[in-house]
Amino acid sequence: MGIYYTKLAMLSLWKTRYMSLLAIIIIAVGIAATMTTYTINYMMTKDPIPSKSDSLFLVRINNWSPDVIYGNEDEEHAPIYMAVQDAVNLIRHDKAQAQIPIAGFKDMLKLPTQDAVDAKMTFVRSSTRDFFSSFDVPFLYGSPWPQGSDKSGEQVAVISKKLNDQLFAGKNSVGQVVELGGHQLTVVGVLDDWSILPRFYGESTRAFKGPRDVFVPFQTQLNLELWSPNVQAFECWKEADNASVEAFWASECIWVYFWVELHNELEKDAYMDFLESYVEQQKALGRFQRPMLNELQSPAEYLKEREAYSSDSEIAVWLAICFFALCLLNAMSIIMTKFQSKAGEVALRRAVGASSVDLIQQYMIETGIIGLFGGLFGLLLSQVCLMLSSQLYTHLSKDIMAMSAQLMVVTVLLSIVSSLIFGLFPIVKAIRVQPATQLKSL
Amino acid sequence: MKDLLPIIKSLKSNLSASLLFILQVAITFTILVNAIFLAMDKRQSIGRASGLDEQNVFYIATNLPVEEDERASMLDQDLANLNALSGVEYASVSSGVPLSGWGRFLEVATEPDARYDTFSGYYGGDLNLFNAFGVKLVAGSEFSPSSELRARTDGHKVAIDIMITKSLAESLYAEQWEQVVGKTIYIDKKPQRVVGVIDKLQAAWPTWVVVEHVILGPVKEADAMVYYIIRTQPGQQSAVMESALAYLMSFHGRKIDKIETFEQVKANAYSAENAASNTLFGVIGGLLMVTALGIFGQSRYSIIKRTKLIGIRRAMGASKGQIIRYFVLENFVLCSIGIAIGIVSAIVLSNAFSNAFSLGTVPVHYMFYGTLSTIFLGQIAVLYPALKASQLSPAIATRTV
Repeated sequence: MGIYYTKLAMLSLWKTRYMSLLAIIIIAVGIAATMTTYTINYMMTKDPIPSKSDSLFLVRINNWSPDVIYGNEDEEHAPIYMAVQDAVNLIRHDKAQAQIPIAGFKDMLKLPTQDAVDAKMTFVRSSTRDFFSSFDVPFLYGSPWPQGSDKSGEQVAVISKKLNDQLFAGKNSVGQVVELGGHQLTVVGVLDDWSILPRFYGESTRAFKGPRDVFVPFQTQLNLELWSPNVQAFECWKEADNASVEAFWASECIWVYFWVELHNELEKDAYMDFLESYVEQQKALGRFQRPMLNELQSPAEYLKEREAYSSDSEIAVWLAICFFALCLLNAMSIIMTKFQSKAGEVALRRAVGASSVDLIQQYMIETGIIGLFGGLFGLLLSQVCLMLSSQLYTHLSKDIMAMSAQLMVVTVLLSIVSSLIFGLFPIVKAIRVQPATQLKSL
Repeated sequence: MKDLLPIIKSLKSNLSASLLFILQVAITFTILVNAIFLAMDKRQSIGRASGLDEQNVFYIATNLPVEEDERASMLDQDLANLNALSGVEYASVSSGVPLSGWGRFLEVATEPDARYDTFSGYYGGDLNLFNAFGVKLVAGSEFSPSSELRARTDGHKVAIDIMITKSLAESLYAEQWEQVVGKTIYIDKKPQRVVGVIDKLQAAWPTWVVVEHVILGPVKEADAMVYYIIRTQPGQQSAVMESALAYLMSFHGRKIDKIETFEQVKANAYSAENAASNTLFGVIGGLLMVTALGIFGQSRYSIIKRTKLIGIRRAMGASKGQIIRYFVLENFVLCSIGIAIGIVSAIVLSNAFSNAFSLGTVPVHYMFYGTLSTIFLGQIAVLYPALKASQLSPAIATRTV
């Protein structure tokens, strides 16, 4: 029966092909608008690292001036970043599963064989080897630097796939040397394609940009005194002793984000206890003169507090949903027109014994097919829209503009289901004819 | 107008199609008004004047490739040489660039022990900075030559004289903002004297609530990284950019961090707003198209359904014009009902948005223009079907079907 109804539906679609096409196009436009905006919004607000979202925490300790509240807020919160000395101390105490300082700088990068003019200003992320394991960073060649490099501050680097393609034509470059601001760094690893959205671990204002291309040990940045005053946001409540980078490292200026990985409540409690004893110990040394406000903050909480999410994408989704509703109403009136001419057919079918349920089934197959084609065409359109968006939204990472297979299936299903629902009314209206009067007029 | 009664009566007999039409118009109106309001809101923030001579200003972020104690003299040497380049109106050093996303903000208070009244952005540089930006003075005077100071970093802490923007002055002294000239205000708790008021200048962050609050300090900072702000004679920009780069690169160890025209800075600063408003305009375009198609289709449908009736009316002496008038009027009535519902739902949606996303609500005149354009759209879309209807032959009345 199903196959026969499908055949009938196809025939009927063909008979009113322009109207069917119009309905399909209108549904497709609505679907494309909704799914494009939804994809962007979904990618922006999704959990960046689902397997770790319960076990990664930003460490916040209240290092600020004795005289004023940090940020001049009404309610006191610990700063989001910490001074170099605290980051170094926390790493040394080694009380968490993983300790990930997030720091960085920028400098001119080139191959030792290249001329100085070919060097490119490159943003560098400095952290520990835990960065790669905790954030599930995939490697193409090599591996993270060994633990020893974190301790000694060896001159090693992990580079992105993109940079490896540029500098080494995509070949395995482990063991090769790059020159960063006059320092020779040995490549120990090359990342595979990697994106993490939203990129929660650093500045919230850059949460939707891609990761940096060069990674070096935090200790290496400290040892080599690599500092760029306009890369990492920093705040100082007390001036450094002098202008040198060394003094800046030793100062109370805060700028290093510090993440830890803790697997359960027990570990979390233990780490909070540790932080308390650490701050107490520093208080005894005359630092941390403000109330103790230690905090372990999850990525989602951190991004929310920093208002990383723009409301634009959410507004766009709501507008697109309204637009989709409009398209469906429109399609509904087209389907109604289509079925208007079916009165004779309906009357005949009813007269020879078809029940209204039979007829509803038959015509639902027809609206379902419209929905299916609308969905497929809408999927195609939304891919085009996403491509256009990635041209338009230059401030966002291109990885946001990608639809997962799951969303693709949802797109087509949404189209079919909504066509079925909105097609129901025209169908019910069409089969409500009186067979006798209708047949007389044939 | 005598058609009005039959139209309303016929609505009842054709209820579902009419309701569908009304609903469509209502939704269109709701989205249209809100989307245009949001898009205009974005356009407005993009269109705000920065106060700078936008076409002729560019900046270079670079280092001073000498030992720390020689940086100040290196800075002076750079400035003198940059000012001497042909095509340069003013070359200056600044602690930051408007709208670039990197800058400083300070607390401002009118009383010494008050916590703070408001925040403000800060730029510090030599005496030329005022002219290199190309901003305008509206009260008081420019800095006197003797007021220029030097610092390594954090020049705002040593400034004595400052200039502030009119917007900042207004937020401190409201209507009497001109009185601020000569007064001492407290910047990060340090007393500083306002010598002049600048018409307009923007801080470093375009989406900041107080982006128009700026303090200008006559303090040259010779830090590891400096921003040279260069204003050129009209049309000379690209030539000057080249010669300035050539000059700067003649020093060993010089790193050019960035060189950008102010127009580029502005385009980058507002890329999110730009993209959002373009998307909204795209939505509006799609919306109008779909609605016009919808109205067109519905009118055709209702006319085909009433073919016989039209034939009868024609046979009974109605002119072509009367037929057209009937359908145009019917469209107008349906649109008006749809818009009436649309106004209510547009207000509801706008309030929902403003609660959820802290936006303003749609002003009344948007409703007015929205009404006009929706009716216009409806009339355009109905015109062709109505014309077709008027061309039906009266003889059709004599046929069955």
